[in-house]
Amino acid sequence: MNKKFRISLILSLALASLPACGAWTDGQATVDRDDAYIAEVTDADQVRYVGGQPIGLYASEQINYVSKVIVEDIYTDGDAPEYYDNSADMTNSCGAVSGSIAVGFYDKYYSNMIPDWDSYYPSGIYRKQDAEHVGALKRDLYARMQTNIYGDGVSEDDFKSGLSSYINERGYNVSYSSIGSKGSFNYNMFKEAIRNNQVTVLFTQPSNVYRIGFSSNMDNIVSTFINGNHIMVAFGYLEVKYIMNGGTRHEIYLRISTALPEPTMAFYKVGSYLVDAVTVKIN
Amino acid sequence: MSEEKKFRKLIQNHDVENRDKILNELKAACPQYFAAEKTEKRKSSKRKFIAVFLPVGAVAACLAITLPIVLPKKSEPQSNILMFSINDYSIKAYDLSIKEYAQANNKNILYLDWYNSADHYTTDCYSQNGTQAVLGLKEYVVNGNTGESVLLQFTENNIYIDVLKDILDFCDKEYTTDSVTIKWTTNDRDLNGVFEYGDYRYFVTLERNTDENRLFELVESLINN
Repeated sequence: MNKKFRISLILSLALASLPACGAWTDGQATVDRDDAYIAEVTDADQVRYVGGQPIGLYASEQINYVSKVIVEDIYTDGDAPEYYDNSADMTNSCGAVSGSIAVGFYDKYYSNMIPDWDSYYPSGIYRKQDAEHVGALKRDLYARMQTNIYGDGVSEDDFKSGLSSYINERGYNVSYSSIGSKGSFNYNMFKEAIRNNQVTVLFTQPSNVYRIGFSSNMDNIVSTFINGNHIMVAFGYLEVKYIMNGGTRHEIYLRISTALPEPTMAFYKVGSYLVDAVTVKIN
Repeated sequence: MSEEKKFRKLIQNHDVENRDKILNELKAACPQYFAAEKTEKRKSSKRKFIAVFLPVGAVAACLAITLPIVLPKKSEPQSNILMFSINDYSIKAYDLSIKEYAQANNKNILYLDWYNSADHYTTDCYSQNGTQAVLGLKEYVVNGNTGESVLLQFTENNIYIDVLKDILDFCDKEYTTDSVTIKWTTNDRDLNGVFEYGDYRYFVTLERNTDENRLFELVESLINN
């Protein structure tokens, strides 16, 4: 065979294989992207949370199964509020927004936690945020947490001291219980908190949140990537076991209020990007 | 060596005048050799043509097949599709409801006309960074009579905002009503639907409702409003 022709043939075959390589790379990205963003955390208190932004068009997965068993699905009464920052002037505000979600959640049980406003309907379902009352709450916490004062966003300590300051001023005491991070996340403590109708604040490095759609013998899972260190609020827990041809698959998701405008509610999988998880208790 | 060259070699010692004369006589006597020579020349040219152009042609053919597959996203802007990711836009509170926005801009946009009886409604805007152009609106409406909570969002058909594209990908079932195809999905809590009508694409979320018929009714009422 002519040498030039052979070279051309090899080149052509290489070009023809590009689409397959691209698909393979995309598939791998689903696995690698979280890990790529994880920085070594030596002191969790020093991590700054800047309010990650959601990046869509990331990845989706279809889980085809023969049968699906909901092992456990527990959540707080009425879920949790779905607040987010839609202001023109606050930045890196995930601490203030997540603090507001926690305050709004407990407003149902501790009167006047949000002055002159009920965060819930008589049915127990939480109201959407309003500009006046929830807007004022977010601004108050934004200042108390000293957002963007000692660096971008807030630290975990800033978050706790700002939230404590607000709740104490409303006449209540608050305590925080860490239920672990990364590989040490204590699912039993988390479940106990949910059963006790308490929310848990998640301090996370860049990570995915998930939406799950149900079809006949198939779950469609779409993930949205949050591109910065972020604070969210967990209010439930979904454990699913899929029986598939040739095996089983076990998934554990936390139900979360994302503190983002889209999606406001989602699922979260505990992984190496979770810096800390803190249950908020009021008394 | 070709037959003509052999003949020429045999007569090379003759002077030019005789050489031409002998050659012409040979051509007249044995035309098949000279015809064969032309054919051979043609074959030789053909081989060269194949050797040079076939590989080029093969590469071109492969490129023609592979490039549309390899570069689909890069070709999208040319087809007037506008993609927006998080660095391109912001979500901010908006003063106008969808209805007010449609009327103020004289646009035929669908909206849930529950405002008078709404327990609550709030409107946000997907705003392009820099230009502040409105890419789409997002409106929560809670019906004061029924407590039904609906999130309605829209963009123009050619605009894709990444987080809304996720909803589009999320919806994997289809239902057609009034010549409108609704892509939809549900889970244990909510219903999501996406449909196109006129120049716009609409995203509808019914919270705490998994009855898809209610979603279809709602879309029909939007269209027939």
